[in-house]
Amino acid sequence: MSTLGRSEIIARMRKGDLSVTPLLYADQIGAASVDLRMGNVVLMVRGRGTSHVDPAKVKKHASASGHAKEYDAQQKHERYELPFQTPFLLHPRALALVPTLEWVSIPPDLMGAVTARSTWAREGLSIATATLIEPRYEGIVTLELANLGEIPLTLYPGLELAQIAFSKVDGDTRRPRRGHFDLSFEPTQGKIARESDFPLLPPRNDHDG
Amino acid sequence: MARALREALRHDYGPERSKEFFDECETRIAEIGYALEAAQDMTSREVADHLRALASVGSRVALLERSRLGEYSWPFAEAITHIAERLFSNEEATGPQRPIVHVVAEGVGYHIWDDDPEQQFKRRIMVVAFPRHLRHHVLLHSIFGHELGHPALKSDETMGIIFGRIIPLMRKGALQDTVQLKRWMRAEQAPSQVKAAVGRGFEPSDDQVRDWRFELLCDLFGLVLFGPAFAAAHRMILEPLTAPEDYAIESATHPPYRLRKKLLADAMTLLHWMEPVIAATNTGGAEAGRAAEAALLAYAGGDAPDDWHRLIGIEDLEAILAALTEMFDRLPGLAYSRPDPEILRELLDRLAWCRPPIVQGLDPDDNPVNERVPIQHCLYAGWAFWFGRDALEAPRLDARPDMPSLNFHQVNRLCEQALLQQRAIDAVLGAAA
Repeated sequence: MSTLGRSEIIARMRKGDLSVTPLLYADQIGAASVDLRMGNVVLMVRGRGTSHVDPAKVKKHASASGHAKEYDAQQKHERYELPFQTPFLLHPRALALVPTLEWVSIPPDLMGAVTARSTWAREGLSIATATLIEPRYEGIVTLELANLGEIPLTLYPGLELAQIAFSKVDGDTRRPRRGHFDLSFEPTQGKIARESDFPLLPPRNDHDG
Repeated sequence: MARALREALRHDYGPERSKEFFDECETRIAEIGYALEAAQDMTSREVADHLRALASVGSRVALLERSRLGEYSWPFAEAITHIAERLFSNEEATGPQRPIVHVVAEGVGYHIWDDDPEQQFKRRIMVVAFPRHLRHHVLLHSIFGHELGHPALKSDETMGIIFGRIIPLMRKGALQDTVQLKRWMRAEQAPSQVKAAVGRGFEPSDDQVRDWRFELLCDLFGLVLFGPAFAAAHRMILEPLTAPEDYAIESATHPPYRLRKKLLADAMTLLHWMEPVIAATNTGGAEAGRAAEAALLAYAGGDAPDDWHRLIGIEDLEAILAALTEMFDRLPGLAYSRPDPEILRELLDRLAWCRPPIVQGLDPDDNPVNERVPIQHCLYAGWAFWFGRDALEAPRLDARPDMPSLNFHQVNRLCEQALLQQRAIDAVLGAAA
C-alpha cells in the first residue's frame, strides 16, 4: 500500500476520479495530503438526551415502531447549523461531530485516511476516530472533534482542521452485501450494532434499556 | 410582551440576525408603552389600536422564536436576504434604512410577511417563511421570486416603475376592469367551468381584478429574478394542486393556474430563453447537456394552454418585461442572466458525478481555479440535470454502476451543498480582489 504524493494527487484530480472540492488555496494540497475545512453543522450530545449508549437498544429497536426506532437517534444529539464567521466553542473533553466543507469523491482503487492538522493537534484538538474513508466514497467527511486540552477552543466553519491522505488499494473493492449506495451530506449518529452483532447481544425482551 | 421578547433569546439563531429584529421589537413595545403612559383619556378606538399594535409585535416575537437554524436552508435563506436587502434599500443604505429580513420555518408553504407600509416603524421587518418539510429543496425555493414581488409593490425603490409603467400596461384587455373581465369569462373559447361560474351569477370585484394583476406581476417578477428555475418551480409546485378542469375563479385572489402558466410561457419566449445556451456545435458530450436544457425549458415554458388563457397581450407583456429588466438593471448581477455554456456544462458534469455543482479546476501551475457562480445558474443547472438526468448520467453509470441514479432530493441537496460551498469561494475571491 503506497500513499499518493502531491503530484499523484494532482494527477488524479486532473483525471477527475479523485475529487476534493472546493480547493480554496494552492497550499491546501500538501506534500502527501489535502487539507480539509470544518463545515457548517455541529452535532453535540444533548444534556437531557440519552442516558447511555447501549448497542442492545439497537437490537431492541430493530423491529420496533418508527417512533421507538427514531427517538433515541433524534434525541441523542443537539444539532447546530453555523453560518460562516460564527464561533463554536469546543470545551475540554467534549466531543463534536462536524462535516467537512469539502465534498470528497474517492475512486475504487484509493482509500483516504483523515487526521488532525498538527497545528490544531498541538492545541489539544483531536480527530481521533473513524479515520479511514473507504474506496468509492462520495460526500462530506465526518470529523469527530475532541478537545484534549485544558481550555476551550473556539472554532469557525471554514477553518482548516484536518487533512486527508490517499493510499492505493489492491484488488476489488466492491462490497457485495453492501446496502444501497448513498451520498453523505452531514454527520449522523453511527449504527453501533449491526445484524451480525445481534446474536452476541442480550435477547430483545430481556433488556429494558 | 417585553418578557416574552427577552425569553426568545434563549433559542439558537444565526449570528447578528436576531439582534436587529430584537432591537426593533423592543423599540415598538417601548413606543406602545410610552403612548399608553402619555394617554389621559383614551377612546375605545385608541385602546383597540394600541392592542392591535401590541398583538402585531406579539406575532413578530413568536416568529423570532420560530427562526431556528437547521429548520430551513440557510445558504438559500442568506441568498434571499441578500436579494431583499439590495432590492428594498437605497444603494447606500445601511443601518436603519435597510430592511430587517428575518427567516423562519413554517408548516405550510412559501410566504413573506411584510410590515404594513402605513405604520411608521423605525425599521421595516420582512419575515421570510420556508416550508419546514421542504427544508433542503432549494430548486423549489426558486418560487420565492414570486413572494419577493409582493414587498416590491410597496417599496419606494420599486413602486415607481411598477405603478408608473407596469400596472398601466396591465390595466388593459380582460384586466382593465370588472366589465372586461366578465366579458372575457363569457367568451366563446372560455372553458365550460368558467362559463358555468358566470351562469351562476358570479360577479368579479374590483379587488379581484387588482389582485389578479398583482399576482401576475409577481410571477413575472420571480421569472426575471430567478430565470427558468422559477418557472420550473412554479409548475412543479402549483400544477399538481390544480386538476385540469379546475378554473376556480369565484373568490380566488390568484388567477387560475393555467392563466399563470400561459403568461410565463409567453414571457420566456419573449425573453428568448426557450433556446438552450449550450450550442449544438459544442463537442464532448454537449448533446446531453443541450438536451437536458431543452427538457427543462420545455417543462418550464412549454405546454402552454390556448390563447383564451392570455390575459396580457404580447406587446404589453414585452413592455412589462422591459420595465422589470430596467428595474433590476440598477442592481447589477441580481437578476437572472443566461449562464455561460462552458460553465453550465461543468456544473452539469459535476452533478452527473454526484458532486455539488460548483466550478473547480486546476491551472497549469496546479493552483485552484474557482469561479463565482450566481445562485440562479446553480439552480438552472440543478433543474436541467433533473430533466436530462438519464443521458447525463449514462457515462457515469457505465463507469461506476455502483453509483445509481440520483433522486430529486439528492439533486436538491447537492445544489444546496454547492450554495454553501459557493459562499466560501465568494468570500475567498472577494478577499483576493
